[in-house]
Amino acid sequence: MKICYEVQKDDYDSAGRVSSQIKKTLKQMGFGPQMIKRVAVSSYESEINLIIHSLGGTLCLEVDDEGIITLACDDVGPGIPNLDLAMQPGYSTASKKAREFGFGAGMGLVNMKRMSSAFDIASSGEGTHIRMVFHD
Amino acid sequence: MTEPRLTYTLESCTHCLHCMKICPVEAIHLEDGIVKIDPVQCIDCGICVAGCPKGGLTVEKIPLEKTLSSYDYKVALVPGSFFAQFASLEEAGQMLKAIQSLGFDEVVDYSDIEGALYLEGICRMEVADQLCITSFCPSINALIEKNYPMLFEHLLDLEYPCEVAARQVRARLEGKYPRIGIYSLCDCLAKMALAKAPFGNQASAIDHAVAISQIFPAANRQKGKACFPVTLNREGLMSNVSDFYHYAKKKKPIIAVDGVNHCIQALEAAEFGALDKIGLLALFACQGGCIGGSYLWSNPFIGEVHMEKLSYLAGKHVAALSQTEMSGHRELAMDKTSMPLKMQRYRSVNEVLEKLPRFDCGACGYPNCRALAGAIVDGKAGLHLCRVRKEE
Repeated sequence: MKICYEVQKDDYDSAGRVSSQIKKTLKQMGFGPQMIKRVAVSSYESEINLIIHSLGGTLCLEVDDEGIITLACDDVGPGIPNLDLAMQPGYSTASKKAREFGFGAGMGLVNMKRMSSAFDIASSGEGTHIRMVFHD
Repeated sequence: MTEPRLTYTLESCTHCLHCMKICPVEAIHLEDGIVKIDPVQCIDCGICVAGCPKGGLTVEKIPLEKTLSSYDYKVALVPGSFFAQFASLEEAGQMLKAIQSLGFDEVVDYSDIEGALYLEGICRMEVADQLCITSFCPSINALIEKNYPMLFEHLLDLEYPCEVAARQVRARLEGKYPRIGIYSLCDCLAKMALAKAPFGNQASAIDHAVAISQIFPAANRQKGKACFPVTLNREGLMSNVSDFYHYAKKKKPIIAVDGVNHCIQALEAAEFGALDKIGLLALFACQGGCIGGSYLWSNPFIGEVHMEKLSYLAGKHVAALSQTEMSGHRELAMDKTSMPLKMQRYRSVNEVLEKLPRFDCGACGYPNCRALAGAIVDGKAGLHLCRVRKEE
């Protein structure tokens, strides 16, 4: 079972809409509170990243028959110049506008890694691809 | 407590489906022309009762006189919200006297206990390292347990004030009278379910729940010049009004939210951690707080004016309660079904959903297409119920 959502760049007005949908779907499936929390936080961080940093992309939720969840966040650029720095808590390249909205605390990728059972990230000028797996 | 608490008066139902559409937790559906309320989903918020244009939904009420004779000593517990109905302490005192004359030996105002629990909530919030949620509203607590289990660990485990009051009264009178009857006067439907009768919460120290609206006319007739001394507690009164909930001195911000749908918005935000900078989130299912309870005779607007006025006249003495007395115990019901089985059901529901129009029109008697699909998978309904599909 796979559902994909498109997220537009700079679409601050809809921030949180996709992750709310993902959270609702997980509740309908019957996941427990701890699992939903982990995925909801990760999908929210992914969605915000797509809005404030990327040129636009997709967020996909995939759940297999055993209940193992995969979140895939793929965008079309501009890429993260220094991944090691980006993975450090508190490091942020968010724009002034993003910070005015209260985003850009530099915890996005850190939280996503902390919440997921497996975390893969690859980035180039063509885009950033993150894959997170969640299981008990 | 999974017995249905709302009853349905068939005669007046016109199948308008209004109750089903306004239910905030999708607990209502129509089955063979009869409104069914799912006791597992229902949170007793009373929105359907207030919203039914024909007054077709109600709560079972037991005539007071029938039960009073079975006790040797009868105590009526009066909540702080009760006083929202009165413009002066004197009028409130006359009403308490009138209530006593209906057959009670004692009338107890427990605003001092409400005040103590309110202040305890603020103390606990100050030392907590995460967002705290407080609610003395059984509907909201049920809503969190059923639909927002992610936030359950944020919910302060404070006991309901009426329950603490009932235990105190029982402890004080135990041994003095053979049969003690404790009656909780309720401002809303949800609090009716906290007592032993009529809805069978055997763990409670309250024997009977009585709707304030049920005794108000009789008490009003008895009302005279005779007055009860009223010693209200200011914090207790304030804790019944959402607009006044931030009243106490505190270091962290408090947000008070009223109305079930507004509370749902707040809980959705809290689930994403969007309220983490807040100290305390206080939630009320009724408009304006407990002063908006449907069993009160006043409306929440004038009620708030009354409460503000009375708060200036009220005292500052709160009940001295131990941590054990103040703590309630709530447990999250755990669904033991395995995840593969749940996914199997989810897939089956989705397969049925594919065949449905997804207009969520409700004409089938279910609040949305997904609910109908679920009922079809469970063998409780058939595809033929969908009226839009028939047209195709």
